Amino acid sequence: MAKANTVAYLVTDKAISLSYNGKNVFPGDIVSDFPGESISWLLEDGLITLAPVAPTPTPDPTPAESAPVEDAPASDVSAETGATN
Amino acid sequence: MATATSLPNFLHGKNTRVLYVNPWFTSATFTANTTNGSYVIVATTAIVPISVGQSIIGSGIPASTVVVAIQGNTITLSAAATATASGVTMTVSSTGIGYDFSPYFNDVSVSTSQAAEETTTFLQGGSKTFIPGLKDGTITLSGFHDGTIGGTSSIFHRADATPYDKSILVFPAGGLLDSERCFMANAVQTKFDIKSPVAGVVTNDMEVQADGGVWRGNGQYLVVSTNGNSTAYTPFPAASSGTADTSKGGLLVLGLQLLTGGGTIAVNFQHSSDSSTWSTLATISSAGATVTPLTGTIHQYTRLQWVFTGGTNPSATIYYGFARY
Repeated sequence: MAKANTVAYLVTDKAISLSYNGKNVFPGDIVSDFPGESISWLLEDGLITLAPVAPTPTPDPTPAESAPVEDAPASDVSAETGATN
Repeated sequence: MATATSLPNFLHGKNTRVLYVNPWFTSATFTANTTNGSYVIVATTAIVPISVGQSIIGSGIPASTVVVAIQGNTITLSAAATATASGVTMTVSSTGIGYDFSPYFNDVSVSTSQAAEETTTFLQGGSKTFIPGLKDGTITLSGFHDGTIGGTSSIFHRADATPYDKSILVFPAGGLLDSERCFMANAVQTKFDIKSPVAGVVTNDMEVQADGGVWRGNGQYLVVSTNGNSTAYTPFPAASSGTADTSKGGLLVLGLQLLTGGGTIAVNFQHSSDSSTWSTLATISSAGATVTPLTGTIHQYTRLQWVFTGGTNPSATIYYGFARY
């Protein structure tokens, strides 16, 4: 019996549709039960990728006092790292 | 000691099926007479290609109506006309169009050849030498002439007017079994003859020149009413999973001739490296036909899958032919 895969994979836009075990899945679907023996060629063909892991929200004990953190502009990053064109 | 012998398995030509596909077809217009409450309209100007399954639009024709049968110039629709009128402009449309030519023709020849290029030089013993040259192929059809709206004259007239390849699919044994042997080609129509003997039936001869070669592949012609798929097919039965993938692509003809019972259908041609998970290479979901030159890797196993959505007792006529390059 084929061993079920427990890792979640994202069906990419390169796939029109994928079929297994009587199911059809489509680009954008996240699937965790692909037959284990299929994973390697599906990855190699670019039909699936590892599904992005959703960030786990961390409870903030003092949300009211937290200062907002903004992303630094790209130009600032270049200045800090000394990158030149 | 007796030795095992393999017995020949001959085919009778009576079961041969010939499909003709024009993937460039989009729509055609003709005029017809309608009768209020009748599912039948009568074409008054012929000479357009028309096929079952095509959608049809015209004054007095309800929305979402399709062609379900063609008999001469009499066309049966999936819904009754709502008006009685003469000379109504009708437009049939589909994404590509495919025909089962078996009712018209009684002889088909698939011919392949390969040039032999001479390489004879001095002092080689006096015999000519050769190397393999370019491959070539033609397909010829002959049978009976039908000048009505869905007949051979309409179809080949239109084919001549479209300067692109059409495809022919020949199933010597009929195509009713899983992954049956077929011969197929993208082709340029080079001849269409009408012969009208004083003491005989009016006949047609038609010939196409393969554009890219005649290919031997596998396919099927089937009527389906529930979700399913054909049996996984591999031309490499002894290979381990994935080790017999091919890398040069292939030629795929995919057709949906008629869908009844409402709802929709997706007809998917799929391949797989392990016969466990399948990736769709091409799909068709509305009446018509497509010809897809596939490129790159074709995995070891191929199959056809069909999935109905909605409808009441749906049924569809579908077909495909596939050859690896």
